[in-house]
Amino acid sequence: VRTKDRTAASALEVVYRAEGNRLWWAVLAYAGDRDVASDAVAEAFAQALRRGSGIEDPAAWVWRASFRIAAGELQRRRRFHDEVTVTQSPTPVGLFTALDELSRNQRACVVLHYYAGYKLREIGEILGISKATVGVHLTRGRRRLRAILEGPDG
Amino acid sequence: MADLRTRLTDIESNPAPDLWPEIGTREPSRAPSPAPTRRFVAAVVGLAVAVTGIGFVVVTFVPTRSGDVGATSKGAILFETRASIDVPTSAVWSVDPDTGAVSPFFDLPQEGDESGIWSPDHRLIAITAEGGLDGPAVVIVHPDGSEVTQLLDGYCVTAHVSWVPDATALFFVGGRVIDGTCAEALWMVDVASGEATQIRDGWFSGVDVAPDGESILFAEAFQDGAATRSELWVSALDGSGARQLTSNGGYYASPEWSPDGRSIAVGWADFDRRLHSAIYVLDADGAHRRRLTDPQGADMGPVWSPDGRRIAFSSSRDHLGDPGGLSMYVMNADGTDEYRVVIGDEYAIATSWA
Repeated sequence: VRTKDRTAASALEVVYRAEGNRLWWAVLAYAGDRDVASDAVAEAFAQALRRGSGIEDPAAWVWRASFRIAAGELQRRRRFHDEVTVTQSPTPVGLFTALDELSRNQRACVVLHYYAGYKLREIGEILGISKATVGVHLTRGRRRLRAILEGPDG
Repeated sequence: MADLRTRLTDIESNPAPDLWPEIGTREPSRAPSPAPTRRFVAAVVGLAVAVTGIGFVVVTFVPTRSGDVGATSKGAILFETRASIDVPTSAVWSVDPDTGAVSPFFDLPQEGDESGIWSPDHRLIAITAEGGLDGPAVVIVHPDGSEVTQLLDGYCVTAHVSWVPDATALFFVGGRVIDGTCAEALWMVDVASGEATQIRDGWFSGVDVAPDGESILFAEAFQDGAATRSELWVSALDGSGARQLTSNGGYYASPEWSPDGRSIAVGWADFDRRLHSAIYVLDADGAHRRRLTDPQGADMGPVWSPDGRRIAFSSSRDHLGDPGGLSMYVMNADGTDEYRVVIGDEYAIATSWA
C-alpha cells in the first residue's frame, strides 16, 4: 500500500507540475482572491494525496475539486458577509484585466466554461444558479469580453 | 470562441505560487470527495450483464462528434447529453428503450443545453436551447429532423416544456432576459404566431399540460426561511383557479401527468437531503404518494411511456462524487423491473418518450 501511495504521490506531483500553474490562475480568475485560489488548489491536491491511488483521473479530479472548494469558500464568505479582496491584475495585463471588467458571475461562467471545460449544468451547480442563467451570464460575458478585447483599447 | 480560449490559456504564462511544499504537509480540512468511478462501474455492470445473460438493456454511451443530426421515431426516448467529447454544451439524442439503439437526433447551432419534447400526437418535437441566447430558444422539428418553425428569439427557456394536446402551443418555464438574467416565470407560446404570454409569475421547477388539455400541473418553488421548497399545483390554462395539491415540504421537480391523467410522476427530495431525490407517483389529486425508487443518488425527471406502463428517469447513482453525471433508467409504473438504458460518460437525461 505504501508503495502504491508513494507512486500515487509521485504521479500527483507530476499532475501538479503540469496543471498547477494553469489551475491556480483559473481558480483565481474565478474567485478573484489569491488566498481563496491558493487554499482551494492546495486543499484539492491534499485531498487527492489522501486518497492515494483511488482516483482514476487525478487531473480531472483536482480541477473539479478546486473549483468546488473555492465555490464553497465564496459561499461561506457571502453567508458571513466577509469581503472578498479583489486581486490586483497581474502583469502583463490583457485578458485578466478584461475579466476583471465582468461581473463575478460572468467571469465565473466564462472561466469555468471556456477554460475549465465545465458544462452549463455543472456551472449552475457550482454557482448555485439555474442553467438558463448560466447561459445568460456566459453569453453576456463573452460579448463583453469580445467588446473589450477587440475594442480600440483591446 | 477559439480566440478566447487561446487568450485564457495565455494566463498560465504568468507564474503562480508553488503550493507543492504546502500540499505535501497539509492535512486535508474537508472530507475527501468520492473518486470518479463511473467508468469502472459501467465496465463492471456491462461485464456482469454479459456474464449472467441478464436481459437488461445497458448502453455505455460516449458521444462521438458534434453537429450530428438524424431521425427518431415513435417508441424512442429523447434524451439530452453532451454534444461531443470536445463540446461542453449538449444535444438531443434518441434511444430505443427495448433494444438500446442510440442515435444522434438534433444539435442546434447555437450554444445551450438542448432538450427534445415530443408533441402528444408524435408529429412534432420541440427542441429547447436552455441557456442559448444567440438564436431562438425553441425550434420545432419533425421526427426526421426537418425544421418546422423557430420560436422565442430573445427568450430564455429551461428544460421544463410541455405541449398542449393539439400541438398548437407550448407551456414553458423561462422568460425574457432582463438585465443579464433569465427572468424565469411560467409562460405559454402560440406555435403559429410565436406570441408568448406570461401565465404566472414565480419560480417554477416544472410544468405539464394535462392530457385532456384542460389544466396545467406545475411545481412552484418558494423560500421558507433559509430553505427552498417546492409544491405541486394545478390551475386552468390561463393560470387562474390555482389549487395546491401537496404540502409535503421538501422540493418537487419535473412533474408529469400519466397519459390517462389519473396519476402524477415527479421527483421529490427532502430538502435536507436534496441530492438524494427519488421518483414518486401520486394520484391526480395529490393523494396517496408512493415512492418508486430508492434514493441511492438523485433520481429525477420522470417521463411516462405513451401507454403509461413504464417510466423513464435520470439518476446520479452511477456518478456519485461526479456532480453532473447522470444515467437513464426505465422501470414499470409501479417501480418494479427497473433497468438502466443508458449510462452516459457525462450525463443522459430523459426528456420525452413517444
